[in-house]
Amino acid sequence: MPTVREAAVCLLRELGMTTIFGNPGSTELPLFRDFPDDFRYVLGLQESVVVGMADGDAQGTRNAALINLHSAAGVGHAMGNIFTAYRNRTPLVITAGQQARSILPYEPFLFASEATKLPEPYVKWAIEPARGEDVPAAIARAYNVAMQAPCGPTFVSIPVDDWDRTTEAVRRHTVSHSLHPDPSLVDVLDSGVVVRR
Amino acid sequence: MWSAADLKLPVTVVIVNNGGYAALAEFSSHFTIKRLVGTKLPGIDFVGLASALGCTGVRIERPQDLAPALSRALQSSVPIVVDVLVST
Repeated sequence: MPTVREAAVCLLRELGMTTIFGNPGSTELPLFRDFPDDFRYVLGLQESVVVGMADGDAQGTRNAALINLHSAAGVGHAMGNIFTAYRNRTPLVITAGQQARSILPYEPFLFASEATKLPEPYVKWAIEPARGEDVPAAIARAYNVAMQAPCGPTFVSIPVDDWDRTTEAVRRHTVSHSLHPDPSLVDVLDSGVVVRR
Repeated sequence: MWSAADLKLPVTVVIVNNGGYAALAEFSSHFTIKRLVGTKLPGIDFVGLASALGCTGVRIERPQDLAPALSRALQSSVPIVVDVLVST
């Protein structure tokens, strides 16, 4: 059974998101344990710059860019350029750290209260998964929603103790990102259909 | 700028430096505002800012200096900030 971090790294590799744009804080550190050699971290000195760089990367590569921000204060700094990315229809998967689940009821310092509401309405979809085990699947959905036309940013809030939990591997699903039927996927579907009389 | 310098990106940043929020200043006439506050930006040393963040900056004050400076910047393998003064 992989850890959430191992499952996320494998998934991100399949999704072509091996560059992380970010500005870290304490609640993000466990993501960076055993940081893979084929990944790179691009540091911005302020979060609006982080989102701006990721926006340019996503537009240049035509693939969603991955962002990692710190809890509420980091997302707050980033908001101006999250708004811009939403208007630009830039596909971004924005992740942000959250305090440990076990201490969330006590409103710890530096946590994000109602984390998913902070970037709304300028993200297409936002979630703090119900269980740590669900984080990789949440990232997969965040990617597909971000890439679905019209593209835009999505948001995943990740409690700090989620990364070391064990979970199931999540593979990249084949999902059409266009608004009309995708001929190539119709062919795939057709090849899998057995007509019975 | 620091990120670009750190990554040694071949990026040319051109600042069309009119010393203020000219778009707002133009808008103010639609609202019949005679004296507009908060739109003048004198004295920002963009070359100094670039330098502080690890980038080379060049300030262009005469039109004839623009083309050669841009040519040099576009051939550079590291980020260059070209601060181009224009009329306000």
